[in-house]
Amino acid sequence: MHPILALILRRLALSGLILMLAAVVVFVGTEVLPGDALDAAIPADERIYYTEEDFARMRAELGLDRPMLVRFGEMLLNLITFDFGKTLVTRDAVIDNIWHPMINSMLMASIAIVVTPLVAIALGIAAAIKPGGRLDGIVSGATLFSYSMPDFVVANIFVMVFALLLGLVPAVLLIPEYAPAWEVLKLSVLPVMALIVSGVAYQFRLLRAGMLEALASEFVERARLSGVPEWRLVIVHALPVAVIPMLNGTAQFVAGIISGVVVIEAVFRFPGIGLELIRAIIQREIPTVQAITFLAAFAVILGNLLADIAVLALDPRVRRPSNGH
Amino acid sequence: MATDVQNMSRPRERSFSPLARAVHSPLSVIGLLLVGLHLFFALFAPLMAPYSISAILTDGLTPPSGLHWLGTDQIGRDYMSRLMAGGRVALLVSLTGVSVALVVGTTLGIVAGYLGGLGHLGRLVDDLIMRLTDAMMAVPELLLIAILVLTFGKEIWALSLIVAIVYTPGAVRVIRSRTISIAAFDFIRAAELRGEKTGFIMIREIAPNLRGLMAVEFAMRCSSAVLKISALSFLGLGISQPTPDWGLMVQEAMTVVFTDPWFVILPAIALSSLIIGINFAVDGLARAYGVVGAETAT
Repeated sequence: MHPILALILRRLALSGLILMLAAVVVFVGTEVLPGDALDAAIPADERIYYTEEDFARMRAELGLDRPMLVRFGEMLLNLITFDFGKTLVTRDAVIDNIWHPMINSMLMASIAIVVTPLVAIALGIAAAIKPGGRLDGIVSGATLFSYSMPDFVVANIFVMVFALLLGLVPAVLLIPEYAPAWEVLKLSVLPVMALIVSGVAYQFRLLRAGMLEALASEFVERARLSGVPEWRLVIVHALPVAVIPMLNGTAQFVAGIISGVVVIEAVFRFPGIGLELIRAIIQREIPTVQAITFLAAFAVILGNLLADIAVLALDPRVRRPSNGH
Repeated sequence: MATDVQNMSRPRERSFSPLARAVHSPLSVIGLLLVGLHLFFALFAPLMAPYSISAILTDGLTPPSGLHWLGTDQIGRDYMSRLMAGGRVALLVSLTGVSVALVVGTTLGIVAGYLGGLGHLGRLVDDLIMRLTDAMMAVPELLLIAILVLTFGKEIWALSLIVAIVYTPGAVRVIRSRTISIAAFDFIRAAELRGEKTGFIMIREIAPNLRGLMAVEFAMRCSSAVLKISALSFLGLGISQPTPDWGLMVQEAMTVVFTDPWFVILPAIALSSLIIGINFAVDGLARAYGVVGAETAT
């Protein structure tokens, strides 16, 4: 078999294993304590409406009376086959509840996932033309600053500036959950911008570190001595190497986008998966919480896998068979 | 004895302690000052605050006055007293949680990194630890914190425990990769040839060389933890009333952002200045210890 194909298959298998372990993490995280999901789902002040028999019957219906290990196995199987079961109280299919919000969120997140690295690369190139220069100082300082701003603060600043001060956009988004994609996108300019601002700093920092290392390396020095102009050194010679640390940070980047989506949806009342997750957590709707968390882990692992493959294509060093650690 | 890897590359600077070197950069001086200011407020807010954080003193939102310098909030509590104390829980939870995470993470990281290079059994231990950290890190931190709050609750001890759990995998990973590069140095080989025990090599030879990285890691993870805990209370899932918390204060004030934007802006500035302070300080610290950007950014 072709060695690169073998490496890709190995990564694929590893990703599958990690996805399964992530399902275990989600399950243990939500059900590690002996309390039971039904107790949690029905608020204390509503319990007077139920008798002990009601509870026992409901437990049996939900399968909560079975041993822990059986439920664990079943839920694990459910998660990794993307069948998320039914909600606790209303008995709807979880997937029906989360499908539309998920599409809405993915519309918003996909723009940020494409645009953020492009902005980071543009800033990285601008900063690397003259490391330590004025432009580098401004960009590095600004990103360190935006890196330190909580995303809900960034989103609120956007609301204040663009909606309150300038009156350009409505401050509260009124997007129906089932709105067509175009409607959703048209109204999500501010959320997407907030998402990009809070994500770009992380990638820029990785890229800048990669740039500085690449620009100081011997192959760039050799090109410099043979008269290649500085801008060409940065873009053609250093950039392909410098994006590797950024690609290695993909898992963290995607995780950051997902956290950002949750927070920013809460600011703008954007009808997406984040609001759905918050609702599920407050109502203690465990199967929905598990489904959304698992899907988030899936997205992170998938992003990481794709980035790994991109690194294999870009970096001859990791293609060497002796790459143990 | 342990060789100091950190200072091997720059013998001329040896007379300066890393802290002294960190202070050379104006950015980190600003950072350290901000952090100091915040720690001071966090420690002494109850002594300095003019009113109790939970006493209801007026009928609702009032503008700043001689009695209440920053006015009172929607419920009628003194805003300045609440603002001064708004970072205490997040800071306390982050400092304790990250400390535990770092101790556990460093131990596991050294074990994984050093044993991973010693035979098949070590490799197995390394693989086991690393796949588990991979799986935990696949769940975005904020989401992992949120589901753990669902299980453990939101008391201070529970939040600290949650921060400890969530931040351990990252620490393992960074410490492990540094351990692998330290293990390649000759002084480790020399210790092995002297017949030192594995435990001695890990504690006396490797661990001392991780001090700088640990300091940077600690500060960085603290800033991240404060952010996450505040985001959690902003979402209404974390610290709850009547405890003052900046994230919660921003959320409560969002309903009045059109009429009284200051109630959003002030806690936002308080929180951001703490995070900015830590991150600026980290920047200087990282440079002083020679920790590269790609290593700290993960």
